[in-house]
Amino acid sequence: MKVKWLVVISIIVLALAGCGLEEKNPLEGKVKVGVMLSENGLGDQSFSDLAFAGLTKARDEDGVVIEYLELTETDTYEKGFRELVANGNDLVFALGFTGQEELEKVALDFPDQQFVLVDSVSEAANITSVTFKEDEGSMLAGIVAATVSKSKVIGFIGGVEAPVIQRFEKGFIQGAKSVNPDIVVLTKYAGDFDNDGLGAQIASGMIDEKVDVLYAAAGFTGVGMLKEAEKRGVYAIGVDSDQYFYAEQAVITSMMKNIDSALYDIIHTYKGSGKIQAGHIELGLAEKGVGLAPFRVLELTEPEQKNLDSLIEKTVSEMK
Amino acid sequence: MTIKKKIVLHSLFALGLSIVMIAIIIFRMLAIQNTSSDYLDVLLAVKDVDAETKASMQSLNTLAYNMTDANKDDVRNQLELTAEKFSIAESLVKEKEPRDILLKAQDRFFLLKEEALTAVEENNSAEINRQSLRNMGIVNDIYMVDLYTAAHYDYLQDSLIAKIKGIITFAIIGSIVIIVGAMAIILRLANGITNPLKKLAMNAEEIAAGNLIVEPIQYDKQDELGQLNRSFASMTDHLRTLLQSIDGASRKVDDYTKELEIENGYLAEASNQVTMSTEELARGTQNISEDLQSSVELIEQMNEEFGLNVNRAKSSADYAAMANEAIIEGRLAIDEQRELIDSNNEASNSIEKATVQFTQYALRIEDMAKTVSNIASQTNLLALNAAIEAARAGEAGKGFSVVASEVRKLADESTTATSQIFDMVNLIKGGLGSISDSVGKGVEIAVAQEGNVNRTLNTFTNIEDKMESITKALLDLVKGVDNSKQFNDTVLENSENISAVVEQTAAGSEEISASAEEQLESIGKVVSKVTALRELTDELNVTISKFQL
Repeated sequence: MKVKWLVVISIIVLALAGCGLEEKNPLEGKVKVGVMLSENGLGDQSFSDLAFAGLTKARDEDGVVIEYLELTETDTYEKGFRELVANGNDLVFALGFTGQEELEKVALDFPDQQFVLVDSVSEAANITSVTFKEDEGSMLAGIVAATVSKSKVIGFIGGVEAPVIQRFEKGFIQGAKSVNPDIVVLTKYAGDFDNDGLGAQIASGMIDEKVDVLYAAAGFTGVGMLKEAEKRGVYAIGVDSDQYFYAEQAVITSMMKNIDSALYDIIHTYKGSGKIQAGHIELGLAEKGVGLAPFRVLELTEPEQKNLDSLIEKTVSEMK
Repeated sequence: MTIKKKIVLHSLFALGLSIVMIAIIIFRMLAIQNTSSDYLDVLLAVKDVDAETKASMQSLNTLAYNMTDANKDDVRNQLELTAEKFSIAESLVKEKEPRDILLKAQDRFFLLKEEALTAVEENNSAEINRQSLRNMGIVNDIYMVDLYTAAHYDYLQDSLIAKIKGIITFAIIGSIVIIVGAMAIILRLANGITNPLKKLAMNAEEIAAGNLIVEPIQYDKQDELGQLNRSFASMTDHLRTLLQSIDGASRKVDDYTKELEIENGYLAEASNQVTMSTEELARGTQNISEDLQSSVELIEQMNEEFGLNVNRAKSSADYAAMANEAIIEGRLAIDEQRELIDSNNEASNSIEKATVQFTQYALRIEDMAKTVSNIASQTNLLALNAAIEAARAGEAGKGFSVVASEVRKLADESTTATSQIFDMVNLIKGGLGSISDSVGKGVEIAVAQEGNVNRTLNTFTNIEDKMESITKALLDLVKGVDNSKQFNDTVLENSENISAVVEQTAAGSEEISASAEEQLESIGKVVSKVTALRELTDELNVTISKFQL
């Protein structure tokens, strides 16, 4: 009888066995990064889109998982940062200085959480700051502007008169002067990043003063400038991202902050080594943190093009 | 439980297990179909949402740079289609994480849709472009949803594979378990049947070989084997008892046969003796017959002799009368002899008296001689003393010593003379003794003679009497002999009759002898039969001895 019961029990045990496969969390073992997008959020064709593009690249190439939050969804940056931390992101990205204060507050609450602040500098230990050498990029913009300008009068519009923006101006002038030391550079600070009307107005005034190439570091205010340049039939140089799509007849190129590749590199490094460089990372021409968008609109003569290329090359190699 | 039932139950058990296993397998396979079939729809719905979102992005983008009515319619349709796909996906995605993300994406899309449509109405191409780009975020959300749903699908696939593997493993292991288990059960069952059967077979072989002392098998179950075992055991017992009784009977038959043989031997011997005795009897009868013949002859002679004897007896009577006269003359002679003896006796008595007187004289002489002898010995003693005194007296006594020695000589001579007298007296006494004896004997003889004469006289008287009796007897004898002769005739006649009877007896004896020989022959046959019987018994014993009882 014992044998019988053994057999019966074996069958029952076997019947019950093999049912214990556990469902794996698809996010398990993956690097997870979150980004709190800046004010305008996705579709700004600038910081947010660039940052998102960098994350998407990391997602598509390195298989990381990305999460994004927009200010419209969270009301405050702080809430957004806290949510990203709570959602278990390995790296939390913040864009621009607008949310910096709130970021530092949250970073203090989560000392073990790694944060990355893009385009601004924080002293917090667990915040890695990534900035771009806008002056170097602006130098290229200045070279292009000086090369392209017929009137030899070019203009620069700044958002607010802050050191960050002043570095744009400085680089732009330096670049322009390197091409033509006699060139005239008009400078105007709008005092607002988010007023395209004001941007258009300032641009219009500058065009009136024979400015035929405009360059701005003024956010949405700068978009107004681009559209005004298109309207008035002068050239403009975009900033931060490729702003060709704002004014396809005016934007010959853009001074690019390669936020996408910067973020991608950081994520890539983190994925490889499990950590990122602490402190302040400055990305210049040498690091390809800044550069120019593809040339459009304008067709340069062969010597002009060659001259421009050699100037840019020279400047880039000087930076290395 | 009977073995039949056992086998049926065991088989049913194994069969039932197999059916249970198959049922489990079928049940599991049905479960697989239920779980795995639907989820592909979810994946497809998510893919649709992804595709349509991207299409929305594209159409918005197109519209942003080419603001035509067709493009506007396209955007409207596309946005509507995407919203539809969202609601389809929403209805399908049930898992918490992807559903949360999907709902969030849906919210984002509805907001986008709303704003995009507004922008379309306002012909705001920049805004349309912005909304187009915002689809990127939604695409990422869908990417996340897809990540989860794909993972879940993978999980379902994996669990499907795992389940299939599990079913296969279950089927294999279950089959092995069932096979092993069924084998174990059936082996146990088979052993339960064959082991006692083997033992039974071994015992049967042992019994066939003659060993009935087999160990009984311990199998008490109430099944066919138990019955077989019990029957086998009782069969063995019965066989043993039977063989034991046969053995006992055989031994008894053996003993009886031996006794019978011995008895047969005795019988044969007795028969032989009977035969011999009968033959002897026959011979004896023959002899008797012959003897009877001669007896008859002798009796005839005797008859003749009897006639003669009668005559002889008559003459004997005559002689007896003459003998009687002679005896009377003898008596007279003996009387004379008696008188002579009496005178002889008187003479002997006078001799005897004279002898006694003479003897008294001789005794007197002897007494006188003794007196002289005493005197002589005293004299000798005195002479000895005198000699001793003479020796003491020395020279004075010398003379006296001579006298003394002379006296001693005289004494010695007296002694010698007296001893001679004694001898003479003794001789006289001897002579007188023998005379006295002789006279005594003479007297005795005379007395004896007188007795004899008297006896003789008596004898003669007796003889006379006897002679008269003899004469008388002789006369009787004559008469008796005559009678005897007549008896003899009768005897003769009887003897002849006897002779005839004896001859008949002899013939009967011969017949008896022949019968005895036949009987002997029969006994021989009986003996041979008994011997055969014994041989049979011996064979039987040998056969039985093969069995160990």
